Amino acid sequence: MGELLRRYWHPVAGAAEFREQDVKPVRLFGEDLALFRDRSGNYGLVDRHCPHRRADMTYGFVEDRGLRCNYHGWLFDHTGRCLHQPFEETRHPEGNFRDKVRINAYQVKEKAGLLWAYLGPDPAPELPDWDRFHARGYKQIAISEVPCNWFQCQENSIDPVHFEWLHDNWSKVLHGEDGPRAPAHRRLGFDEFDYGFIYRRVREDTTEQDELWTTGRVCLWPNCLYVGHFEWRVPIDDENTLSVGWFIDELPGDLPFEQEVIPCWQAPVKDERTGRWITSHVMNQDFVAWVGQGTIADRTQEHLGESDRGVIMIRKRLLDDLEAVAAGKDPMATIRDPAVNHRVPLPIIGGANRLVTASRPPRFPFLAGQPAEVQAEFEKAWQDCAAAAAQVGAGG
Amino acid sequence: MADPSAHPRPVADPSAHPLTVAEAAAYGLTPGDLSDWAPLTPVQIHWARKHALTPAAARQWAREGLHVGDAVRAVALAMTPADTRRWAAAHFAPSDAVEAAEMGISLDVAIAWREAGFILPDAALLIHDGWTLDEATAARYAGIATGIREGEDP
Repeated sequence: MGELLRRYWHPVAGAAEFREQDVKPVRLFGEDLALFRDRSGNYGLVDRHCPHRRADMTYGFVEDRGLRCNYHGWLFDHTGRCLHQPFEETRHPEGNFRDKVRINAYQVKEKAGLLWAYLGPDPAPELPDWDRFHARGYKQIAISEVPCNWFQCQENSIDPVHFEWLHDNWSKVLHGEDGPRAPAHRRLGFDEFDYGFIYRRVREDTTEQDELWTTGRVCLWPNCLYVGHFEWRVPIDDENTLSVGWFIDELPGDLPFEQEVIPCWQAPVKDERTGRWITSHVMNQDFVAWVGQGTIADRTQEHLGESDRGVIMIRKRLLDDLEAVAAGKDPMATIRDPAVNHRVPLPIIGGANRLVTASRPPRFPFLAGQPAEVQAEFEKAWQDCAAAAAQVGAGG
Repeated sequence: MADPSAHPRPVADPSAHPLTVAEAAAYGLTPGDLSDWAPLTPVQIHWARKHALTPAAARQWAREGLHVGDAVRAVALAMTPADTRRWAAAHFAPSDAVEAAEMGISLDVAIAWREAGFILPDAALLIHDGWTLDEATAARYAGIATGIREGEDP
């Protein structure tokens, strides 16, 4: 499975995190790594342990050209080259021992406020330039660690009926509401497209003219849900998943809006007071379902039905892709042509640049724990844009 | 809690909607293309064109209940509308006919698995992996207490 997922770029951190730190420990695909930004602005992702004596590189210090181990001072650049071995070069400058040693390193790129890593074989494919990244709005990133396997998280990305129960109906129960249940699903449809699958649905309150059916929502291959915002499920290892959410709120008016920094915050998954999973927000409810399936869900104990057609479909696709990779082919949704990789459109209900219809800034519904300063910054942006739009509307 | 991203686009005529026209442009499609392919969405038109499916063929398969993705697969398998109708007569979804053709499953086999409680795509994967119906049925109920099996008294 790792061989397949390594064929894609994965978001692993927020660029904003490196405004306050130079080095961050990360674990991806079962590998312990050090993510760093040197003083020249290069991002690097290297083995967490120095190839010299295995010291922890996340306690190293960044310099103009790389990360220096704090144990004996060996310096490595973002490509993994060893640039300096202080004592070796003092004693044996002719030995060039540094040219014989490398630290394992992976490519890192910054896009849309995220740091993306590629841990697969060269040549790396294009890092997708999704059109939505360019939309006007207030953007934020939230990251959580979810203690279960990534694929049961991704199966949720193609399971329309869960929304009716896990989110709509359960939320009513959690809020103590006794009213009628959420509109029931009547029909499901699934379509493959270049970058994954589209799932469509008709509920008892909608028809086939509704965008829930005509446009649908996107299970972005191989490990993301796209519904206007993105939710990636990146394997930390077989038993843990990095949930990376990239969110955008449209702002009033259409005057230019520039966001200097896309904030990145850590979203808690557990209620510290009770030790139970947080249940108040949409993605937290998803987390409850995923971890509830077990650390690695035992599919042999399942009883699949009509609501699981999408789940079965992506399992089949995953197996097909594993065979493709084993045969030396690119898996689905790999972008190789740079000309194609420019503002790549994805289906989205309401269009990629939606108009704001709310009269005040909405609360963040997806994850618990949004820092007050992020909400405040968004509200200020929203109100500034609303005021500017009103001024334009008044001919000011 | 309402679905936070479900803001249905008002679509009296999808091909004329500015949002749809903008999306079409992103796929290199013109308003004329949208009209030619109506009522397909830009991404569906793009997929159909990529796989050389004509508007006429897309409409023909749509009448059989197949969306573009499955229509492309049906054409690749040299299926005919009569094939899907045979499966529809046995109360299978049109897409099941395509799935079965792709996985080499006959209608009789599909019916037998359905009667044992397996939807077609699930059965297809199990058969592909070498399971017999008896084995799959036994495994399906292995995790369930005897007393609550279907048809038995608790």
